[in-house]
Amino acid sequence: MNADSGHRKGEIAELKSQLRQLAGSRAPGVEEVKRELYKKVISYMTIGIDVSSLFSEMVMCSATSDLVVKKMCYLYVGNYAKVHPDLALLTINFLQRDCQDDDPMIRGLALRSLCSLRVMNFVEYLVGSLRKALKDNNGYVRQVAAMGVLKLYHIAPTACIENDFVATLKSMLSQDPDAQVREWSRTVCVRCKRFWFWREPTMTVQTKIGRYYIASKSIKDFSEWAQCLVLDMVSKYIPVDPNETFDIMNLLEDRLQHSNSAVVLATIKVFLQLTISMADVHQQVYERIKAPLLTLISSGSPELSYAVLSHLHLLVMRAPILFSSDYKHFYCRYSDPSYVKKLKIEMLTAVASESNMYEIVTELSEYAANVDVGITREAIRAVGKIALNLCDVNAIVDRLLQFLEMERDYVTAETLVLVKDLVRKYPEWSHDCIAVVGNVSSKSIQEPKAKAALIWMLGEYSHDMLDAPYVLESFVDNWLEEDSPEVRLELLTAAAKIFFKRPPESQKLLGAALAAAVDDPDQDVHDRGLFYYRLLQQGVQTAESIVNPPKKAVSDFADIQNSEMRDRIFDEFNSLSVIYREPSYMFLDKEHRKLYEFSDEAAPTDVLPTQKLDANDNDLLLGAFDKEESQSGVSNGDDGPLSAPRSPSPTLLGDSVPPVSASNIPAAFGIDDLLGLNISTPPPPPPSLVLSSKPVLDSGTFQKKWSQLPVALSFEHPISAQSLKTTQPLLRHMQEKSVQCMASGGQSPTFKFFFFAQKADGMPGTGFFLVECLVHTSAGKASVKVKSEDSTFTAAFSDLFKSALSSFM
Amino acid sequence: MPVAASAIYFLNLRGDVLINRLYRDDVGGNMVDAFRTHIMQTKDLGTCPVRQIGGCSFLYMRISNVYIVIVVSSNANAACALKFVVEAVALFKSYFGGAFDEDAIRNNFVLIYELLDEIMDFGYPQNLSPEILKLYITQEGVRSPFSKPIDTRPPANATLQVTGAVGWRREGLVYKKNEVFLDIVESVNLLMSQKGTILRCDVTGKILMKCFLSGMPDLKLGLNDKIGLEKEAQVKARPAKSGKTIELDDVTFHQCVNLTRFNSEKTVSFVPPDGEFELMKYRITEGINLPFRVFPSIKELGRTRMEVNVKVKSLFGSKMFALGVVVKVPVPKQTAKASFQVTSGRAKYNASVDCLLWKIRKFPGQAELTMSAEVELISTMVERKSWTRPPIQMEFQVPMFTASGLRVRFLKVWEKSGYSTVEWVRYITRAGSYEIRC
Repeated sequence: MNADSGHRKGEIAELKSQLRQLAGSRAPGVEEVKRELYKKVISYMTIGIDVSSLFSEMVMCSATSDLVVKKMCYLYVGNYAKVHPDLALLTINFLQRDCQDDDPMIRGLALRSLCSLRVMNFVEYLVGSLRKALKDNNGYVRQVAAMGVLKLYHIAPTACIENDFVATLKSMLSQDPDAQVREWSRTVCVRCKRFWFWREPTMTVQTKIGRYYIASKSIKDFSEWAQCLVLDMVSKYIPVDPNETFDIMNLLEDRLQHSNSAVVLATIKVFLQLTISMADVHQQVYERIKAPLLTLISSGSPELSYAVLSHLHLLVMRAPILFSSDYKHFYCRYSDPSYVKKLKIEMLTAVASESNMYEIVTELSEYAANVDVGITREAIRAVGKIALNLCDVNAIVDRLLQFLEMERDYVTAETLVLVKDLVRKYPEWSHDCIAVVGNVSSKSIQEPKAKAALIWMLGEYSHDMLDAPYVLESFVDNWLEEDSPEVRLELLTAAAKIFFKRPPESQKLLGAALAAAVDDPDQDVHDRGLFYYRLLQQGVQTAESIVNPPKKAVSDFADIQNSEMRDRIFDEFNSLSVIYREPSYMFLDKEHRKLYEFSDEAAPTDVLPTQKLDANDNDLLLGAFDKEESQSGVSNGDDGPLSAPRSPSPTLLGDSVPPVSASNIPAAFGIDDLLGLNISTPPPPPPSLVLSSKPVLDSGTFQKKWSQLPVALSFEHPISAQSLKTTQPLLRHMQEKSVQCMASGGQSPTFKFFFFAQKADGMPGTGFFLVECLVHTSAGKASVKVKSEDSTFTAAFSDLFKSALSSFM
Repeated sequence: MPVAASAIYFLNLRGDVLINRLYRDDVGGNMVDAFRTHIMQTKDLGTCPVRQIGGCSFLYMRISNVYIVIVVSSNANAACALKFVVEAVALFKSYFGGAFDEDAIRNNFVLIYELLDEIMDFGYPQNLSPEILKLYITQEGVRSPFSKPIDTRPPANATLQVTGAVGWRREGLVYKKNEVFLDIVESVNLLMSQKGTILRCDVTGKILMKCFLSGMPDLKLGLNDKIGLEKEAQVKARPAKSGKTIELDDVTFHQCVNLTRFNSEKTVSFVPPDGEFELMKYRITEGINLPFRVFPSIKELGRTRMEVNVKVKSLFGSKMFALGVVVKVPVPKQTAKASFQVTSGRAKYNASVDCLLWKIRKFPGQAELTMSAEVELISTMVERKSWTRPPIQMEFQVPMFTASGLRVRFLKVWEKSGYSTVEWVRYITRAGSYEIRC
């Protein structure tokens, strides 16, 4: 390793001296040598060797007419400028010089590299070159400059504003002589859109429409990638009336036939978002986009199919009926990669209905014989899911039971879990199922979930299975080898249940199970063991009514993902959230992520009180136990098998009975005490809130915060705003109340405002309240959504806000 | 949200970086290590093309022996990013002459850096069309389009191409002989059950064109698809000609096609790019003529012997023939050897893919060929159970045949100079995923 790095060092030193020699040379052929040397440097850079020591030599040599060398140099500089800002200063000079080159190509390239350096203290140099380039007579340079403005915005938004770049771009948008540059600056404007939107509170909805309209009408002039961006922007637009919606949709309909799948998906997003409030049109949109989507899944690379299928899955969850006749498109190909197969199986599950169920289940059964274990499992689970979702399970039950006969361990395991759920939902099938389950060899099942399912069925249907006690017995005998507490819990319960039904055969079994449970290292198992033991002391009848009461069939299993979550994902259609199936804040938000990490770290300290509580609880119970025992002495005939658990109890009593229980304080008091421990102080009264009179928040941050924070509160409040014709009066009014406006727009009778306010005593940059306020002047009503960084003050702030609204006019 | 890629990496199968290009600062430089340790070195590699580690998402694709990884830190448009990779690979292939693998990348890394500089800026995809990029980025090195003398290429026009608006054609092209080649290429996808019922069948077709035309020609293409014909009948106020009409489930076009005119008049009219391009793609699920039917019978005789009989029937016209027909019959892993009897072609056992391969170089229409094989197995009880009988797969090409029945009715070329053109039309049907369960 050392020798290697030493060797490398030598090589770099050699490169250095070679470059130095070349720097001033004008000998013929020197360009070729330079090119080779540069190539070497770049290849070192690529594989991760630090060649930053060559920086000054590289820059010195870069005075050349060879474009390839220039480009390599730009690449090099761009890579190391961030790490060595002091060195990068050297390059500024040379890049600036290149920005004045006669060749527009070089001007453009130099400017692009200059803008890509992204070092804060270079901003001043950048601004001059950018300003010049925006007025360059060559379109290519102007285009690069437009892009540069966006890059500048990311590192120094203020510089962008101070130099009026946005305004310049805006004028380019309409006046540039070169149509392509117009398109480009528009594209950049589109990309800058969020900054624009927030920066101009006075901008009315009208101009926005104008902009969106221009964008959609001339969309054909854009390159396909720029089209995606425009479409994405259009999807966020809320049309004033249905006619406009239809206009936009008519304009964009041909985009669905574009060969670029990204454009098609972006268009679909527009259609879905535009019509979201028009239920019947929304349905028609689904019909319209079906064909293009189905095409996309079967053409192109599997990775693309994966992305498209994820989107389809979201749509199907919203409108399952829609695709139910197209289920054949989701049949897996043998050569599909497993991630595509998995999604297709999910699709088949989602589109299954009474009409196509038979075909789908038949197809899924084919996959159950797949070589890929993961797919087999998915397929079986899918069959089960369909069975649980649809009422007509006749055919499916047979299928599931056939799986059990395949005699493959993982198939059996997966199926058992499903059969368990199935009989919980359809008790009428239990007889058929149990007959087959009874034949399953318990030895072949290893997975805890499957084991638990089998044991549950053994306990629940012991009256149908002759050998149930003996199977359970063998499980109990292997209690110590059983790793999963889940299985042990299930085993204990099953033992109790079987005891209620067939006491003579299973008394011994229950005794053994209880004994093992009380000795169990797992807290839950241990507790349940004791609990059963005490229940049984109250009498077998009582115990049965608690452990095994008559059950009702389960009508619906809980849906994992709620519809609100799904709606949020739908709002973010055509993005990663659809693929991850969670809204973007879940995986992007630093705060959110930190919260998770934080809570993980905090967990150990959190555990302390609960442990204490548990311990207390235990003591109390034991105390009660002790009392009972001393009162009733030896109880009834159950004594024989139940004597086992008593053996540990004296030691427990002896060691850990605290003074509280020893002095026989009634249990109820103890619990009160416990509760008292929990809420020692009443919740503090809502703190009073003073708003900062001059909150500082730039629009970018506002938008970021807005997208990250959840809605803390939303309400409607009356407002006397009948005479409101523009947004200004309300703006001013709110300002007096220390609530600032970030953006506003709209026309009578509806206006929309984004307000923000900040806590007076808060740290700079924290304690913000963000408000979206929709004012309906005719109805005299304002719908308000509040997002807050400090949830303790949300209520106080909303009161403030309400009173501000009430006092308007 | 646009793509906004923060970085692109090219890695070989070992995880060595071949190319890295950072577009934004919002991801650390060690992202590629994260990809290596959390994705490449785990079993999850093939499980999903989009993965998340820390705050970053990795969208990756394997092409031959190279991984292309896009790193994003925002809620990016995944479909767009993956499409970008697909397009970029197509671009690289057109530069390297068809090959895209580790060697090609190592030999051309400077060129790739140049291209990456042009096709993506600040994480946004730019113009990816090879026709335009090749104007100023070449294998030999960069040539500035502006450095040329003004009379051969006016700068305004060059700008137009570099900025990529009329991305597909430049002016002033001259050909001695004006020719158009049009290929209709269809792939048939079939999934048939053991009993011979068709579970799923569709055709994805594309129309490929090669244009060597002078000037700025306007082309119009007529097909025998249902909507187009009906529209024409309406316009001309006479009943549609009898004969087969095809219902296209879905069509997508190259960006040169005037979609407004397609929607109003249902004709495909366009100004073609120079050279080779894909004019349109379509999908059909109804009324498909299957080129082949397969009748398999596989019997397991005891533990060590299998009898395989496969009959393949060609259903296309007797004057046509299929080329390169391959029938792949899967057999268990523990196959020892197989003996064959075939009426035509050659059959052998290929242990590397666990298949009996039966190849027929030329398969006439309306014919029936059979292969019967006796397969001997090594007897192991355990292995036996895990054999799940994958489907029989077929490969073939049938020239002058379209499974959908799609035909070109006319291809008209207009150019203001009024030259005459020669049009060549070819049809070919290939096997997509042609699977028969057995």
